[in-house]
Amino acid sequence: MSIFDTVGMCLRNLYKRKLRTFLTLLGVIIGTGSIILMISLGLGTNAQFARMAEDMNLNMTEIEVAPQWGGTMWSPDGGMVEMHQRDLTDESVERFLRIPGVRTATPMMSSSIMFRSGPYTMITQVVGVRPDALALMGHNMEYGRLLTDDDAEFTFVFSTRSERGFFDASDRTVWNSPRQWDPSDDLPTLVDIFNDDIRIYYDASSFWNTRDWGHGGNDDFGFDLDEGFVAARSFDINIVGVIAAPVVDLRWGGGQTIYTDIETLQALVAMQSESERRAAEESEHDPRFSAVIGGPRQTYQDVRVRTTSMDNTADIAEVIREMGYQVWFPGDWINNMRDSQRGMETLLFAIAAISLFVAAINIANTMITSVTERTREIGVMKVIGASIADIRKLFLLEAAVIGLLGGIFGVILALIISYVMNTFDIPFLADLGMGVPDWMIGEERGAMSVIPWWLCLVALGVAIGVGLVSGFFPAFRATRLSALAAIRGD
Amino acid sequence: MTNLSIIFELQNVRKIYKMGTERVVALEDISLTFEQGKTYCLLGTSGSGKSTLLNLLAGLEKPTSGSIKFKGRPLENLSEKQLTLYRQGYIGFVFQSYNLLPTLTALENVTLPLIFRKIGSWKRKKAALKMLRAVGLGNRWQHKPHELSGGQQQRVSLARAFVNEPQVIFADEPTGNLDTRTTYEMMDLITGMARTRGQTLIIVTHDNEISEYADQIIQMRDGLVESVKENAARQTPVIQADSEKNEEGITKNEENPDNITDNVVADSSNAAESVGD
Repeated sequence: MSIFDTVGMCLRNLYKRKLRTFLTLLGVIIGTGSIILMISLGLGTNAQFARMAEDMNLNMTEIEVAPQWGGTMWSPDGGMVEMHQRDLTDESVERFLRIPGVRTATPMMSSSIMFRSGPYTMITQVVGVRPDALALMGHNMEYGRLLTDDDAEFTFVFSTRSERGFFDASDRTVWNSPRQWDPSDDLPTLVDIFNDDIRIYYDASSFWNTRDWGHGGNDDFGFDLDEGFVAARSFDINIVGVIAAPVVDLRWGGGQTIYTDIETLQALVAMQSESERRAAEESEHDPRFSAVIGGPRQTYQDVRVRTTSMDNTADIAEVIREMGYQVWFPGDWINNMRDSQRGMETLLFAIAAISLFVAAINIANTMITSVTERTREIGVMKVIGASIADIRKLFLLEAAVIGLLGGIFGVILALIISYVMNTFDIPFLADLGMGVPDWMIGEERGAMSVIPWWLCLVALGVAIGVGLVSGFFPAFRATRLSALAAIRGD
Repeated sequence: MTNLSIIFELQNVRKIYKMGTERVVALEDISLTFEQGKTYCLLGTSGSGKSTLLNLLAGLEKPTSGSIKFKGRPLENLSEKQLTLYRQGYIGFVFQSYNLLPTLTALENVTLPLIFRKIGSWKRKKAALKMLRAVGLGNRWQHKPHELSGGQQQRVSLARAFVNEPQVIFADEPTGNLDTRTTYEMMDLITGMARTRGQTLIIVTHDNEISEYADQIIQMRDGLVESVKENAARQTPVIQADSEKNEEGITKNEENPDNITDNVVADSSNAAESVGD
């Protein structure tokens, strides 16, 4: 029997039993459709998470390393653990760099620095990094460039919103509501960071010491700012670039970070401390500062490690944790969040899989009924020359066609429901914990349900497979029917 | 040693059915020969073993012991695949209750054996239409079985049995469900067609009148052959596809009976080989 004739006959048989075929199809449609939808929700959420990570400038390959403080701590399982102190030093950074899969590592420190341009002042945290590492951290530039090893001292990279830190210190209202927390986009620009002359003041103690603390209760802080700036020592700075702000930033004051070479910052801090020590010695001879300045080696509070791929980030983080440091990485955090959602997705997928399984049983049941009903027909076909293979093909194909048709309509159903879900806001999905939480989403959420073309093909394949598997036993029964028994019983 | 004119040769054929613990002897000990081109009648009451014998000859069942040779090749040694080829190429079957497939039209029912033989669509439709004309249903080819009378359905069934140009036609109570007038028409048609085409026809019946159409009447009782008698005064077909005699005439002109015989002989040598393999 040729394949065309087999297909023709099987379509005719299915059409003859329209209602039964339709009901069996319905099961397959619902089963296939719901499986596609459940997978599409998972894919949609994956895409949303990837987009969220990108929007937040969260690099999934970044590991934040912090020193481990010594002492006794509560362990996660309730007992007490003795932790050994682990400082972050240049040697530890070198050790991190030697771990296979690490792309770069840099100590990161931040210090409060005072900037001054014209009548405006800014006191803000400056982050010091190694220039080569900054280039590998995946920042998008708005203007200019990042730092290089060849840059002179006092070279800075600003961020889009850094300028907002400048304020007119003589205007008291600004002290109460700093510009840098203002989310609006149309604030007047006070300082043109590329063209205006900007200086940094490193010995804040000299600055503040000009303040006459004796005049209490004075509205304009009781001291002459200009006098302070004259007294304090300062340096001219060079700004080479502006980093674009991330779309979504989880930290307050995002998009304002100012970077400089860590050596510049260390020197500034040292000079600042030195000036503070001198000031302290001059006044009270405070011993605290000599301890800090006289310390034998530089330690860091923060080292950033970048890995070559997000796949090995968790492993490398574990290696560093075993060295005794505290680690934190966004991949970890996102994975944890994603994992908690996967539970719900798995449950929904299981329900969908059960419905497809029921559909398979339904196909088998329909086919067995069909075989029983057509016992005589099968017998006659055998007598007039049908081979066992013909009979088997006929019934297997019937089951496979039910699977295929159910699969096709299931895909169409899933595409329609997916479109509806993506077009209209379906609140219950968020209640179920699907998708990225609203507060983490940028301007556009992205599709809830994503159905790529390969998913449609896989679903069709699975539907046909389910049909074939369900049809196997009924087809086997049909071939085992005795031609005689079939034509007897006149 | 094979005598070409002998189509079936049965030697000490026994068939025992096991029904649970009980053994039912359907055929006690049968030895018979059937010659090519003749019409036979297996006559007997129900339970005489005549239908069992027919099933054995058609390769639907295997004998418990003994041997059935089709053109010198023992049927009982054939595999299921070879039996399928045997049924496809060499035999046609007419049932008492017609057994047409209800979802198919008359034409499609007739083409079915050709479909199983993977004959092309155009070729098989042409052959089927010709055969439907031969049984006088040329203008009913698009009807479904339920739209046809019993006699018409049996004619379609007849066309289906003959469309393969088989060497043997088996007819199991072919007129059992038909009225008297139609019975005679049917018998004339079937025996006439078989004789014209030089085919062996084996009819199973309990009806003495029907047996009169045969060249040889094999009387059976309790699984044994009671008597074999030549029927010299056999009925010659009087009515032949009455409504479409002309068309039948044309068919005859197109298909010279001699050619058919030649074909059959030529075919049989090939066929015997392929069956034996």
